[in-house]
Amino acid sequence: MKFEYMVGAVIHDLKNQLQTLLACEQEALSHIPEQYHDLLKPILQNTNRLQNDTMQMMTLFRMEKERDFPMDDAWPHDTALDAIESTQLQFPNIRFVNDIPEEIQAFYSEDLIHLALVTLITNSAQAGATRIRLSAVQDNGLTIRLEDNGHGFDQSVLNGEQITTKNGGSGLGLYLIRQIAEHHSSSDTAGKVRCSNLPKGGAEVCLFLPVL
Amino acid sequence: MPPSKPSLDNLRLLVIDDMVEARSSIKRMATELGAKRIDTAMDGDQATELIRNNDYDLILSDYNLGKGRDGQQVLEEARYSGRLRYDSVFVMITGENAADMVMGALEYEPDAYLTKPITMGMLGQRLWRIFEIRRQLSPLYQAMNRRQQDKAIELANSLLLEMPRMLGPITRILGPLYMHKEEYNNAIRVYSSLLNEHKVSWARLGQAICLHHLGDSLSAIALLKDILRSHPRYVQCYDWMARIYLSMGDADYALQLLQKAASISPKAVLRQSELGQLADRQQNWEVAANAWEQVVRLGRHSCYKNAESYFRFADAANQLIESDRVTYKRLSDKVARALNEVLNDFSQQPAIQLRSWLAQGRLFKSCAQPDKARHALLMAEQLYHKMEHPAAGDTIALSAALVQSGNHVKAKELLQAMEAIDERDQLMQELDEAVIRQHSDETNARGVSLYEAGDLFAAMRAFDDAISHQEAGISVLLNAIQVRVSIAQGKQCDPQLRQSLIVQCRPLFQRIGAIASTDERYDRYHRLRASFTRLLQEAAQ
Repeated sequence: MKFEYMVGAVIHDLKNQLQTLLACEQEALSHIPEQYHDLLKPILQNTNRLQNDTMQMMTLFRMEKERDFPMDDAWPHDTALDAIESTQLQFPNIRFVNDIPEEIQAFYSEDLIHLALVTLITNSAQAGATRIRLSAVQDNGLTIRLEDNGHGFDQSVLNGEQITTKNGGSGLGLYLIRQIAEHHSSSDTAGKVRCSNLPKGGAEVCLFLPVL
Repeated sequence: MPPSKPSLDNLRLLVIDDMVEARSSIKRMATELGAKRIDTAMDGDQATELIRNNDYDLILSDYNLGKGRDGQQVLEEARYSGRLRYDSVFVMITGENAADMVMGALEYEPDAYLTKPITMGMLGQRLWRIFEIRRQLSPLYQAMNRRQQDKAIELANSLLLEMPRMLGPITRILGPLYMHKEEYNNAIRVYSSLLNEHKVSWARLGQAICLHHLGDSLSAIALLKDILRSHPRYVQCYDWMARIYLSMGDADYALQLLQKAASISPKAVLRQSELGQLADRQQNWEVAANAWEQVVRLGRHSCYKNAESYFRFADAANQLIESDRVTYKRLSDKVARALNEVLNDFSQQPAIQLRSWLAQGRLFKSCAQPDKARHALLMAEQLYHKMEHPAAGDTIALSAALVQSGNHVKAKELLQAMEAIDERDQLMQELDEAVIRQHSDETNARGVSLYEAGDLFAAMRAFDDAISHQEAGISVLLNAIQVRVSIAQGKQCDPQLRQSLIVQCRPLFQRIGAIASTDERYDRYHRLRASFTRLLQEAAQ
């Protein structure tokens, strides 16, 4: 067997096992008295993070190998809602605001954009954010904006010197998001990611997807 | 905007998942969303059964349903058999990215894919979007439900002008409608207007199919290849490339393409059956046997189940087994099991059972198990004689098997009794007259020894058997007369029997016709003629 296929299969299996583990933990949480929840939550949060990491690896692997993430009509509001719901449990201290208008309709791979948003939210959490706002505008393409109140990007990241926030994460985050944006390039316009720090503190990331 | 939570209040739901936790979790969410009537199924068979007997508004199905059929097959069968209303919603839930799954045919795609883990907000929001589209396009969906195609086309075109945002959903309906009416130029036009905005694979596939129908097969192939470059698992592109190459006369390449499609999506019955047919045609028995085996296996509990696929499997496999019965030992076991299954599952259809016995006969012959082969053929014969109105094909099939196993006599009897058709005449030519003659002679000899032993009635049966063949010689005919005369001359003979024996002699004399006085059989003929006349006179007195 080729090594790369083995890696692919192992990651895939990891992801499935983590999914089962998560389901079991959630089931346990629902049976255990509330006073003990604090003990179980770190386990749940770490499993969640592991699962996100494997999801990221798997997606990167796939994007390189196959490139067949089908695109379809999609609603950024829904995708953001979904990303928030899948991370809420992991980051109970973060207050989310989904300001993406419900009627904005776009065209992208929902799986990929969902993963990009989950990754961005995880990055924010690791940067100590307690508040995350998502918004979007549609103007010759779609721009999804995430703003947080964490400590913002290191100057080195903004200079493009390194692609990691190095706060316990795998370091794959921004790289993956760039890959996802590029995956949504049209023949003349590339999808892109822009990172900056807000004047009042906190980070801002804009994910731009051209009309496809 | 309406509230984002859809109410599933009045809807009938079906939740399909093989994992009990997943099933109950989805059911719980649906209940929270207002659903009151929810059925659940744990596998494809159960789901299909429920869909057959109920009218569902919304089906939420996991893609992977364990060992049996997957969610896509449940969907295809529901739509194929017409058991699912056009506007019923089918949502496919996947453990993976949607990209991992094999897409169904254009008309068999689900309304939405949801990736696990599913949260309630996500489910509610997605369902709301789908029902919103249904609501805005409701006249169109109603026309589709009633199969009013012309009206649907008219509505779709006017809705396109009113609601440009609905371009995608409307094109999905309008494209196939135009194709169905063979208005390919119109179909290309609607697909193009969508493609001007987004490069969606299904619309490109639609265009390619239309190009092919309009005669531009080369452009169609170029387009299909291009779709596959960006979407390599879009198996339908292989299906269509295969059909196009076949139409251009390149059956070998078409076969390769279909094999490729089947390797990506091995569970699709219709594709496997297309592959089996092409492989049969190309006499690629290895591929054919495998494809038909899949059709049998996958179709077992579905609306695609039919006896024909079992026989195609047996026939293709038999070609291999004949060539090398050791290597294909396991295959022959499989064929034997499949043919037995036919006997059980089609027990009310003697014609199918007959074919199964005949196929078993061929199989055992190839496996060098002559006893079993003979038994199967015997069962086939018995069954045939119990059939009230055997079709010409049944008679031909049985006769051919009889000829193959050297039973020319029985074959001839069957063939003579049926009306003349081409196959019959062909088969008649294959009959070995010498063998039949020999049989007639042997039976005659048996009759003679019975006659000599004094068992006149048994002798008569043997002679009658011998003279049932046109080739029976004059001596044999004379024997048949003689045994009748002997019985009739007996003192104990019942007058009625005597009468009928005499009557039976007449046509026999006619068959002999005139005999020259130089013929060595003349004397015997003459004596019998005299005895016969005497009997006639006695009877008249």
